[in-house]
Amino acid sequence: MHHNHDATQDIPYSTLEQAAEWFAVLRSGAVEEDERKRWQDWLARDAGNRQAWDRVEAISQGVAIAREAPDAASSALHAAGQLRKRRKLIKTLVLTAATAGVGWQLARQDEVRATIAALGASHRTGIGESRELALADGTRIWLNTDTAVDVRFDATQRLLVLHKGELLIETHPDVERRPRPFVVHSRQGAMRALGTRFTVRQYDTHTRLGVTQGRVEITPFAHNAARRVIGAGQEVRFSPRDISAPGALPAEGLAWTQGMLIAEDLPLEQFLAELSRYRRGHLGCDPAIAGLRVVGAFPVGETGQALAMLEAALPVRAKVVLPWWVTVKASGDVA
Amino acid sequence: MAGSDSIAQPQLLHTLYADHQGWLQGWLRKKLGCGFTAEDLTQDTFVRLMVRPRELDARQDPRAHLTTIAKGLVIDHWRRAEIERAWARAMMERPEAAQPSAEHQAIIVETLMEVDRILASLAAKPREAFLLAHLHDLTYSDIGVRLGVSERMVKKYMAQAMLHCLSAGATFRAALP
Repeated sequence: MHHNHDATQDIPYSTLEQAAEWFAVLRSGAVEEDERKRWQDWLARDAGNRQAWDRVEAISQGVAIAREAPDAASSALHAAGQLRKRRKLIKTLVLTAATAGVGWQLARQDEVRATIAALGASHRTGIGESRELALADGTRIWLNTDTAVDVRFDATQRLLVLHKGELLIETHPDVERRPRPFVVHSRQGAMRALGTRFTVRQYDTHTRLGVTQGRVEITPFAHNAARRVIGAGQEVRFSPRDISAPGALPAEGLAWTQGMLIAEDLPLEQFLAELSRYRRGHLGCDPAIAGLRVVGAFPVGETGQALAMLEAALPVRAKVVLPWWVTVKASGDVA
Repeated sequence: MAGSDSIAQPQLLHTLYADHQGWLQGWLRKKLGCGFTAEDLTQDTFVRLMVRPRELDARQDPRAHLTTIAKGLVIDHWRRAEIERAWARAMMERPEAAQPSAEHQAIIVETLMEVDRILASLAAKPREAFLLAHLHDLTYSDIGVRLGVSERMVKKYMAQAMLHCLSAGATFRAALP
């Protein structure tokens, strides 16, 4: 089952077994003098024994290299284990779907459930939905349209993993006696809250962070990328490698939590791109009028009404080609 | 076999690269959702091919073989990201002065990759015992209490875990100077 590398091929398995036994005896700490003597005899008896023992020592020292940060090493190994479980879960789901059809096997189902429970809760919103949630520690989060987030709290941290969409987070001092850090992961990096209210939005290739209260520390995921602390009133965009220079946080950025989209002199094309996040299907813009400026507050729960308001405010028509295909054109163009 | 060695010739590798680099990078980009990483892993795939040319013989479809190598590299990539992320998170908790140097940290992460790879196929309790002894310096009796087993059992686990590492050909980095 184990593939023997060149290094161990030359040593008989029984010798490796003996070396492993001796390791377990000596590592126990309580070794009698005569036992130590027997071990030395074993070492001296055969060159192969010596070789096997050298390997035992190399392995033992190698594993112990992370000893100066044992908790970090343990949690890193734990994280790798969780990843393996997730992959196994996906495989199980795919296999079950492929082989079982309608009939779930009960045992399977329990196994899957347990695995999901171990991975933490997931929360989702569909297109056009938004939701407010209270987490176990008193933190409140708001999910904007088309958002997926995992909540993974454990003994060492309070972690949110944002897969897509947008969140507003209002952290609460931890209920545990030893306060755990509050961290949000996007695909590009980790954001650690330092007593805060902030929004995180996942774009295709980057993350946008806006801080309204307190501070948030960003650690992009690329190796060696520099961290940065973002203060209240600032917003930045970051990739796994770089963090943009902070800009002023626009006041209208949180309007979605009230079900509104606020445009302050926004180009029409950009406005429609924002509005289309809340609406199924295509919402396009005729390039000829893409630069028209939009001002006002629009309801995102009723995108039809938002489009009607747009028609009232600007010389444009929302042309419904199909129920899920709308193009906004100059009003004169629509026959 | 002389035939299966032919791939080692630089000319052939060159042709392989020219023919397959394009789709492989596209395939990796789709899997990873990141152009930079896809580029890196494409290079790594061909490096792997150069290092172990014998694995590819003339009868095999190069596309299938390259995909197999690349799949393994993708899994390693996610595993490394997960380990690095968890490690970085834990380091954040420490004052700057208590953090090992960047080089040392890189070596530790590398070692953890290898430890994870080897110990993944070991049963949970022996693995746990082995790590508690090495990372946390716990005695057998402490480990026994943690795992709810006797000291004798812990000793058995230790031997079992070490034998597992030995027979899997573990090559952890030696301790730092």
